[in-house]
Amino acid sequence: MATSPKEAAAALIGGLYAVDFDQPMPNAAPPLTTYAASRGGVPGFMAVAVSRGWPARGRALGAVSNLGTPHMLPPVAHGPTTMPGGETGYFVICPAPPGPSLLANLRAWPEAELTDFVLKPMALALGELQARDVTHRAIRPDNLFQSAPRTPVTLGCAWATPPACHQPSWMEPAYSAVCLPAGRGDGRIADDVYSLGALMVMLALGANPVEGVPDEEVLRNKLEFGSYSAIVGNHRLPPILVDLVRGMLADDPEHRPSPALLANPAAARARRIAARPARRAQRPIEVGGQHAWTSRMLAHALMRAPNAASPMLRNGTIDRWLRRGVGDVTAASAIDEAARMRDAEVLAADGKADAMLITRSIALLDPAAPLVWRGLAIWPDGLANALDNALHFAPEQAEALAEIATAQVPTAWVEKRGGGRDATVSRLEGLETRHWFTGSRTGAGAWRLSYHLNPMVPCESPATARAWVVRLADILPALEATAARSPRGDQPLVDRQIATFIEARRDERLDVDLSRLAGAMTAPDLLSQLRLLARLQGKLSTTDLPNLSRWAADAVQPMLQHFSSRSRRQRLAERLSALAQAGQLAPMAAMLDDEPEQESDKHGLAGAKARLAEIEAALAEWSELAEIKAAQARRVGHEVADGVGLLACVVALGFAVFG
Amino acid sequence: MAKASASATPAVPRRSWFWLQGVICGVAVAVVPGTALMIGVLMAPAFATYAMEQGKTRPLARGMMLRGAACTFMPLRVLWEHGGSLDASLDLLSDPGRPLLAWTACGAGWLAGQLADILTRLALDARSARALRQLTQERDKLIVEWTDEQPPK
Repeated sequence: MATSPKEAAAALIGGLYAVDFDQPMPNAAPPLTTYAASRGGVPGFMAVAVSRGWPARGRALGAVSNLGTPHMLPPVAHGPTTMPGGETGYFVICPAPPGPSLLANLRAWPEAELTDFVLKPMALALGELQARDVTHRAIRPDNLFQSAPRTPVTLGCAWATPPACHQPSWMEPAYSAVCLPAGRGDGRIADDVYSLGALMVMLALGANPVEGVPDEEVLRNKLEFGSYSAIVGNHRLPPILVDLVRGMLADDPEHRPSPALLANPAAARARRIAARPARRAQRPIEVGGQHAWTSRMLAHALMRAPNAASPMLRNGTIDRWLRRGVGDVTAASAIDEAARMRDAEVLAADGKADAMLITRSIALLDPAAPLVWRGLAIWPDGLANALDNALHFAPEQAEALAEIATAQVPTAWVEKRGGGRDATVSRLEGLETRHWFTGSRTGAGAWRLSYHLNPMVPCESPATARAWVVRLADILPALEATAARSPRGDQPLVDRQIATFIEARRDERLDVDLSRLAGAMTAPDLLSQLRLLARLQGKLSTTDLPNLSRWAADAVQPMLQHFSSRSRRQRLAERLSALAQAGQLAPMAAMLDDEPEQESDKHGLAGAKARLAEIEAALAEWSELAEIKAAQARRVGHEVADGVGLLACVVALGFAVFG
Repeated sequence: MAKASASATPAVPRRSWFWLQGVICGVAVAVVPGTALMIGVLMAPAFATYAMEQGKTRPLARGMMLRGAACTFMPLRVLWEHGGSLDASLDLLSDPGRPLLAWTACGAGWLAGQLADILTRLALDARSARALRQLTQERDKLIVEWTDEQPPK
């Protein structure tokens, strides 16, 4: 079947790029699904599929679209398009990789090649990103490409997933590696420098330096001995690279060289910052089977074994170890204070106070550590992605992540770790987030938070499952398509997900109807649902929606039963059907909202009831008075007959007398 | 039983005027025997009906008497022109046309009374049926329009 020009244009992403679903590109952006794409028939692009639960990076997509460097694959467009099965997918269009990935041809790179064809181009690319306040967070060997040997490498796509979510744990700094994959946050450019340093080690050796070592062991080694030692270990690096990589793999991000400095490897090598070694206790402390020698290791142990750590924090075991073992009186006092604060907060019987104590203690022990809540580590700016991911794949984690918002954990975390964002600002943000969660009128606070925090998260309603609805404007066309495809069945017009989505991408004019929907999810208030969609249609000036209108008419048909008059119901049903044909929801809502019509119906009902009572009374009275009336009628009949007789009598008498 | 009877209000005995009617008839027979005979013969069906009809108002007898009377005035005048004697009365009554006409008039009176009863009953029934039909129709329409029930059959 030939497609219309309008449909063909709609199938193009960004109005320009066509996806060729017959040409998958399996290694172009692993592990994501990728297809070849073209612009005006000219190939050379790829379409990277965005997966539900792994939202694309909205801010980065906007900020990096016109990147000037040739050493990176920037996103040139993004948007939904229809896939062969009829479902809609969301794709990020990037230039196609110039060649195979470095992982495909993994070899030991000479030092000169590393600096000229990897370090320098990457430094330029990262510099460009830094200038736009964006990070890449996907620097790994399978995401760097090279068109030919001895040519600069090109950094692949990092825009179709949450930052760093597919990064190997060992290529991330410890404070990022411990996080949930989707909750690593944007981080900072220094984190890209770290990954680049790890990559350079791998390329210099021609193999993964921690091959076969469990991630957790690598992480513990990083915490105990530092990242450089944990990654490089006993391997031998070219002497010139050692200083460079040591700087790039510094545990403190402030100590890593900037991209600008990396562009000049000689200068970067010369820059040496002596990091103060962590205080090491004479004897380790054991927390939940893990031995900690330093404060950072202790913080990690608290994160891994919160149940074992909580009593130790409360009974002073950790306080004493910090004072006597590590000799860090300041940290010990702070931990002691946090424990006392916890005692003052013993309100929550569900262990929330204990969880808050762990969070505060970790922030005090290791200010570089991420936010930890009930054993889950995230960076606050990764909360949105982590929450969305958990809502899809790990509901039990979603509950804990949502609790981060309700309990204002980021505020407590920022206050204790010091530095970073201003605590007052964080508190305000916390309040706002809490409001977004607890203020949800549809009872789906976690989803609302997810939709609100990440504008790239699509609506997860079953009614829009085949579409990819990320904007408020997309929801009605998606519902119209669903209505055209399938009968409504018994599903509501606006389910909880749609209401939550609209609420999150909200418009104050819709708040009234959302409020009415708040308690309506169990007993659907169809009129409010219709009104909400009607206002949405009016606000967004969407074209006619005949199929959705028919759906709506079908849904609100039972509401006509609220009218008592049968003829009125019939008349309204005919009118509703006519309005549905027109595809405008507002007149349908107005018709059902018509108060004079409702009042008229009520008055009519009252009048009919009164008249019925009168008639019933008259009928009952009729049978009672039948005999009396019959007797009266008989008497009247006889009187008439008597009258006639009397007249005859008078006439006869007259004749007799005068005749 | 005795107690109930004792507590009941004693009925007022109804006064009978039958003796007065007997006296008047006796006086009439004694004083004007010809006229009495004439009236008695011509009005005989009416008087018989009066005697047999139950009820206070005796509508049939009333109608027969009025019509019988209408046919009695002329023979009475003729009787009185001939002296009003018993012989004259017998002479006039020997003509069968006179009693036949009077009795026919009485019969017409009886028929009129019966017809009046039947006709008024018919008229009443027709009017009641129409009104009932109108009321029932209105009730059914209201039930159909304003309730989800079916109207009673």
